This record gives sequence, structure tokens and C-alpha cells, in this order.
Amino acid sequence: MKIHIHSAASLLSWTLLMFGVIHERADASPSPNDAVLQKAAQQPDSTQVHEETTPSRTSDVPQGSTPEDTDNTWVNRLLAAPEYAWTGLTYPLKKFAIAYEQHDLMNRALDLFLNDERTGGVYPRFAIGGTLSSGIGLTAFDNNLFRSGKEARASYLLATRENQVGELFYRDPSLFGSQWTLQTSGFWLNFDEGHFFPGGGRSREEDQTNFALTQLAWDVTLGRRLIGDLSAAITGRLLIADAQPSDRLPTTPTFVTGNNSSMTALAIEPSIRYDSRDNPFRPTTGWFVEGAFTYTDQVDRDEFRYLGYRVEAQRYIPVFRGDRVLLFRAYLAKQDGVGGGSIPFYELNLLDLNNGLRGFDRGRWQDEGALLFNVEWRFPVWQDVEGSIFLDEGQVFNDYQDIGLKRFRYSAGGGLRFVSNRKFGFRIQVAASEDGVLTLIRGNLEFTRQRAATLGF
Amino acid sequence: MRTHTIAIHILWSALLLSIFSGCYSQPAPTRPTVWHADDRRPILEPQEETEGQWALWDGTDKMIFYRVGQFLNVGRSFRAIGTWVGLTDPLEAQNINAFDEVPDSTWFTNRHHVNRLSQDTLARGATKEQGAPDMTGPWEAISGKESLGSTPGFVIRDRKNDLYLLKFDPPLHPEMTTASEVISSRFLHAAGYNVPEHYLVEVDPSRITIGEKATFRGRYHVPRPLTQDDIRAILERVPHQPDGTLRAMASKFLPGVPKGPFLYAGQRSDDPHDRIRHENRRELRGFRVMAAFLNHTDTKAANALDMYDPQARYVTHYLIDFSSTLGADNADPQLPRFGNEYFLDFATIGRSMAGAGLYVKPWEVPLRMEFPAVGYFESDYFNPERWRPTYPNPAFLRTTLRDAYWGAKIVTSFTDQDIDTIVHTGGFTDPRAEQYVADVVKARRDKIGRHYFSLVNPLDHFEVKERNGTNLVLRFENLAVLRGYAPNDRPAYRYRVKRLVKFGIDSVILPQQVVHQPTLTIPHGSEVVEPAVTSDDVTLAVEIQTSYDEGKQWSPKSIVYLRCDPKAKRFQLSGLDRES
Repeated sequence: MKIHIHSAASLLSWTLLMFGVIHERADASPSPNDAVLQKAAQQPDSTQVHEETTPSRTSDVPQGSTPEDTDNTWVNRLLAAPEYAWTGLTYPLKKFAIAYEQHDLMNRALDLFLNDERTGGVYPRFAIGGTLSSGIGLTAFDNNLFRSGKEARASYLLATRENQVGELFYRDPSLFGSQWTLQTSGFWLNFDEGHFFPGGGRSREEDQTNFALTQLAWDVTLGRRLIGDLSAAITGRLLIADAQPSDRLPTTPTFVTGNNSSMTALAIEPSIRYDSRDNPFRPTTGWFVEGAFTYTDQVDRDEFRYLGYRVEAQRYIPVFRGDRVLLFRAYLAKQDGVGGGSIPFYELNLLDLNNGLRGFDRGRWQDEGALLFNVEWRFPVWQDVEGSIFLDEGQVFNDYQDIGLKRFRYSAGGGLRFVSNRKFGFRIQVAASEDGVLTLIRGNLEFTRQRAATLGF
Repeated sequence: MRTHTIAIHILWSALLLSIFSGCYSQPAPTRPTVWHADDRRPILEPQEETEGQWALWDGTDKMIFYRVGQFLNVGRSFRAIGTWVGLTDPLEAQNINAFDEVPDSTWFTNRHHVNRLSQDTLARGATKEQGAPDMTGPWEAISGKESLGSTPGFVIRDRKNDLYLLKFDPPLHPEMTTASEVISSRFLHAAGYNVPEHYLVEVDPSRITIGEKATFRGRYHVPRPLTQDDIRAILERVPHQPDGTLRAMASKFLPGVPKGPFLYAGQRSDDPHDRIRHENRRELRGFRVMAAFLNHTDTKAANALDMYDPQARYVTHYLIDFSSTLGADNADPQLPRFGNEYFLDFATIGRSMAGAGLYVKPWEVPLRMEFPAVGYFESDYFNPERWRPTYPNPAFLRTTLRDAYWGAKIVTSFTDQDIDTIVHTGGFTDPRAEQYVADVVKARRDKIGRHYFSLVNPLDHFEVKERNGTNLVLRFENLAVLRGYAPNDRPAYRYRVKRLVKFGIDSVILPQQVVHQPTLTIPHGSEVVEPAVTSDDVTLAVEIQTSYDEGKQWSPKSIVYLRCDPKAKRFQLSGLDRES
């Protein structure tokens, strides 16, 4: 208390010192001379003009000293000491920025990684999230292969010796000059931090088990436009996988179907797609609807044989000139064993942070069926940065009878998306769910097998 | 305990020091009555300033680091708080004279708003009779680079041995950039700023030759010999006229030795005339209003240039490069958001994020481009207070209402005829485009006038006359009425007169009076007022307020100081202060 009184006294003393008796209020008592002045004020005006006294602007002779900067005092310089320290801290940045511009470092760097047309090159990759929790790697790409619009990409990402993922991709938009498109991709994965939650839609967070998976999936897709925005495709797939209990505890029990075993399978997937979106990389309006059937048959044994189908619909509604977009998405997928075959657990339908239910950890919800609804509001924030707010609700199920309103799991959140009209995207999102809060940071090359359609997300 | 007490004393002291030290703007009677700054005396040749020419750093610094630094400046931050809570006034410009005006200097020359320029002079701008490039001989290209800003161009030498920077228009917007350069340079010259001579010329490509030592800054900005291919590559991107000629803007090189850009913050340490920190110069703070008027969004340091005159041996300060003014942004039309928000505008980003897209910015309207030759230039959404350059300008950040009022006085001094004359120099082939630009410029001028003349009491051009030594008559003009921005043309004026007393109590010697004419009678002539001591002068302060609604609301005060020299025995104007 005493300190406060001292402080107040100090403040008061300074205030008095600063204001002092130099300036007083205008309505203070008049001086003795003022009585004379007041009296004079009552006298009538005289009409005789004595002299005009407005100072001249045109004189070339300075009529006084040039003004000085009274702000530039030692006190102000002293009080600016933190600013000077900050300026010192930013000095290296300044030097770098100047060198960057002076020597055109951006173009030198781009020339180091990319070709002159910027259609191909090699660039380093850093990833947080996705199939691996994090990693560094390289991507080599050419978006205009043979100068004919063909695209090729090879990517590799390394987290640890046991956690690596690679991808090869090739796309010919006009196979032999025809209306057919050819797309082929190889996806290779080796990781020991897979999560599996036994119990499907009823699993709890503490039920998490860990498994290791080595997998190679090779897809070849032939597609063509049928009419307007409608197109069809057929995909053939080679799938080689080996799942083992991980060294990380608790491990996925060996009795889980497909664990502690390997599989070589072939799959075929016809699909049909309606895509009226204005821009696949930054859609603001239109529909995306896709339906697909998948038949997978193990070729080295008879253990795994299953049929799957999925339907997805996305609707983009432009609001206010398309700057703001409201997105609705519905997704249903179901698998069934056929001919006495079963489904390996790592091929079950999945809802998690990588697959539409963004508030849940990797592998959180897995079962034969998955139902998902998303609504997302996207709005401009700055330049090519969009903000988004979303609500996801979904559930996994074994049979359709299991679907229930009370079984939906919810996640909600928001984030920022860097988007461009080209093939580059970056987003950071925070999503909350009953399991907690998750942060997602990722670029557009996801290293996620497109089991669930993740376009537009 | 004692340590704590001392610490708290120190804290209070720092707080008060920061709030009060140097932040009191000098009252008019203590400011010099100077109309011409004494800054043309010979000095040693200063070093070239190299920092400001790098736009990337300048922009990053001003958008992020400078702002953080300003926040860390204890004095400035506490003063800002003091201003916000009403403890003190903002720091006013430091180079103003007793009449709240800017003395003529190497920075600025009072021109049109003080002594109206003729229509010919307005149209001529900074150009001179023999200043245009010689159109009979060859033009020797002496340098070029891949992009000048993003406007294609190169430097030539004509037969007179004069150097010019040639700038062209983008192919999709013929006339846009060159017209903006020419028009804006004339407005800024008439306002009082130093600008280069800008000429519109027709370029015959066959006249261009390559100089022996001509260089071209190509890949990675590395100089190499300039070739015909370089010239051809530049000219290929330029709209050609039917006769094969190209329209260009020729900017004559400034006289003297270039010393790099002047920064909008701080001062040159090697120029003894540079005694006012640039962010405290009225002409740079008030430039914000002029820039808003012309939509001059690119007010970075690199678009300023100091030139040293080796004969007279002093530095003159120029504004250069007006290719991002009016509807042009170099080789592109202005984006609607420029002029309304900074390139990286944390406040706008914050509002957008907090509003989750429900906040629609007023300028988020469909791009309405009436004429490709004009670009995006509008007045409907223009708000002089909200207007922003592409990135923060330190002088603009310190613009006070008094600075802005000064700028508004200049802007509103351009009549419709003046604007028509200057816009005509842009050389638009479509008269509708010319009319459109003139209309938008006029509308922006009017918005500026209405806005700032409502926030500051717009009384000006004071004259005092003394009658018989007993009565003073103070006349003035109300700029809002004179220029058509007042709600009505017969406002009421309320005034009272105080006598200022040194080291004592100011006294009211004439209580409040109300009149309806811009003429005030003060019955206190030099014969009536006696100094306390014979050698003392007497200073009266006439506080005037204006009301346009019969006294319901009164404007802030204008305070006119009248000083009676006891020897001369007459009153004369000695200063002017404006409340804001």
C-alpha cells in the first residue's frame, strides 16, 4: 500500500512539475491590466484603418531560424533504446533481404531446383502429418513431360529407417492422342507406427494398438470423358502388403484379421465421376460426384477376398462472388467379404484426420463401413490464403443396421489454407473432438493412398 | 522495500517522461515565422543512401519490423497511450512555421495553393521549353534491365546529350501507365513537390541505336552488354500504334549527382541541413492526402531520390516514379484492394479471420474497369481516412489531423478547370476516358475536402487590420464555404480573446462573441493594450470556432495569435494553431 502511495506521489509530483504554473486555465482571474482591456472592449469600433500587418510570404529573407525537431531529444532517444535493440536484432535479416533482392536469389534458387519453364525439377519436401507423423524428402516432377502435357512425379519421404514412404506417378491426359487418359501410380510404404483401434465404432481412445506395415500398391487407371462433365474410369491394382505387430506397445493382437501375415492381391475398380467444379485445385462452384466398386482377390492364398463400393458427393456453393464457398460433402463406403474371404484390417474403411474426420488421430475409426458428412465454410483472408471453419460427422459400422444417430462422431475446427490455381496447396488446421485437439499441417502431396476420396480437402 | 519503491519511481518517471517529453507541440508563438528554410548553403558531398532502394526489405521492414520497433519504442508507445486517453496531443510536424505552414525548402515549394498557377503552368508541370527529348536525331540506348518495376523500359541519350528513362504501357492497357505518370507528376509539381520532367513522346523504334557501352541487367541482375535483341524484346511487349510508333513517357534524368532515396523515417547523418526527422516533416506527412487523392499506392523509399548539386553543393529531395498512381499499378491495373489495405495488412487479416468471412470489405466489389486506358480507379469506395499505400509509410503513420488538413488544403486548391487541364496532359485518345479520370479525381478531391474540413476548423488566409490604434479587425476565409464543402454557406463563428501572459495566467479579455461574417472585431488595439513592462510585447490569442447548425455543434478551435511589438506599436499576425 505504501508503495502505491509513493507511486501516486511520484506521479503527482511529475505532473505538477510538467504542467506547473506555466499554463493555466483560460478562465482564471484577470490580471490588473485586464480591467483596462475589458473597458476598452466596450468602446465602439473605429472605422479608420490604421495598417495592414499580415506578414509577407514572398520575402526571400528568412524571418527566423529554420524549425528544429524538438522530438529528437536525448530523452526520446533513451526511451527508444528497445527499438534500437530490435533494429540490431533484425540487422542480419535486413542484410539477407537486400542480398536476396540484389543478387536475385529467388531465381537462382528456382533455377537450382526447377527448369527454366518451371514445369519440372527437384525440390526438397518437409512434412508434418499425413501417413507418417513427420519426415523430410525429395520430390522430382515434370508437368510437361516430352513437352506434351504428360505429368510424372517421384516422391520420397523419410522419417526413420522404419518409416518411409515413396510414390511414383505418371499421367497422360491423352493416351496416343485419343480421348483416353492413362494414370498410373505406385505407392510404397514402410512404417511401424500404424494405429489400429479394435472395436470399430465402439472403440475407445485407450484401445489404440500399434502395427507395422510394409505395402506396395500399384494402380493403373484408364479413363475417358463420356459426355459433358461425366467421365468413367477403370483401375487395376496390385497390392502387396505385410502387416506385423509393432515394436511399440501395445501391439495389435495377432488374431486381428490380416495381422502377422502377408498378402498379394489384385483388384479391379470401375468408377464413374461427375465433376462440374470450376477449378479442381481451388473450386468455388459445382459438383463432384463419384461412385466406385472394388473387387479385391488375394492371389497367393484364399484368405482375403472382398468387394467394396463407395459413393461420394461434394457440392460447392459460391457465396458473394465466389470469394466465399460453402462446401457440403457426403461419403459412404462399404466392404464385404465374398466367397468366404475376409478383409485385412489395414484395408478396412477408415475415418481419421487424413480421411475426413479431422479431430481424430490416425486410424481412429476403422470398420467395413464408413459414413461421413462434412460441411465447410471457406472465406478469403489474404491474397491466396483462405480461412476455413468446418464440422465433420461420421461413423464406421459393420452392418447397415449398426448405423445410428447416436453413433456419429463429431469434430469441428478451423484453419488456414494456402491455395493457388496451380498444383500447390498448403493448410494448417486445428480440429477438436471428443478425443482432444489435433493440429494438421500439410501440403497437397499427401502420401495417402486414395482409398477415401480426399479431393477438395 | 526501498528497492521496489525506487523501481516504481523510475517506472513512473519513464512513463511521464515518455508521455510529456517532446510531445508537446510547440505553440505557434514559439515557432519561427520563417517562410524559406535555410537549407541551400553548401555542404560536403554526402554518401549515397543504399538501403532504401531495395523494395523487398523496405516493404518487409515497414510491414513488420518497423511496426514492432515502433511498439518497442517506449516513448512513442506511451505517448500513443497518452494521446488515446486524452492526456496529450499527438506529436505534430516539426518543420512548420508559426502559421502552421511549411516553409519553402529543398523538399517542398509552396505553389498552387498559395499563389494560383496559370492553366499553362499547371499543364507544363516541371517540364521546360527545351526539355523534351530531341525528336530529330537518333536515341542511343545506354542501359536497360529485365524490368523497371514491372514497367518495360530503358534509358536513352538524345542528341542534346540529355538522358531520359523511357517507360511504356502494357499491351492490354495502352496509355494507362504513361498517362498516370504524366498526370500525377503535374499534380504533385503544382502541389509543391520536386518531381522530374515527364514528357509524352512518340517513339520510332528505328531511331533507337545501341550505345557503345550500353549495359543490360539481365538474369540475376548481372550487367552485360545491351543488344538489339534486348531492345526488341522490350518493344515487343509494348502496344504499337497504327503507324508503327510507340507511345512512351520520357522522364528526364534529374540534375546533379544521385544520392539514393530519402527514407521516410530518420534523417541523413551527413547532411547538416537535414535537421528534422523525415517522419516529422509536414510535407511528407501531408503527402499522405495527396497520395490518397492520386491513389499513389507505391510510396516506397525507392520512389524518392536525393540529388546533390555539385556546383551549389546542397541536396534536393525528389519524388519519382508515378507509375502506380490513378488506375495503374505499373504494368497492371490497380487491384481494388490496393489503396484500401496494405499488401500485408494485419488489421484487415484479423478482421477477416475474426469475421469468418461474414465481414465483407467495402472494396470487395466486382472489378469495374470502365476503360482499359484508365485501369481501376474509382471514387465510390474511396475513403480518405481509410486509404492506404501498398505498405506502411512511416511519415503517413504519423500524419495528424493538422497535417492532413494541410494536405487537404492543397488538394482542394485544384479547381475543376485545373483538374481538367492537368488530366488533359495524359493524352488519352478516348475523350470519355479523359473525362472519367477527371470526374474521379474531382470526386476524390471533394471527399477529401468534406472529410478533413469537417474535422479541423477550416479557417485560413487570416488578415488583421488595426483601426485608430483601438480596434483590431480580423478577417479570414472559411475554406469549407469557399470550396463548397460546408453544410451551409452562412456559418456562425464563436470567438473569444485571451491575453497571453508569460509565466503567469492567461486572461480572457474579450468574452465569447458570436458573429455570422468571417470578420471579427477586437476592441484591443495597440493604443489600448499596455504591456506590463515597457519592453514586453503583448500577445493576444483569438480562439475561433465554427458552427453550421446555429450553435448546436461547434468545431475545434483555430487559435490566431496577434502580437503587438511595443516599439512598432502595432499588432500583426504572429501565429496560428489548430485544434483537432
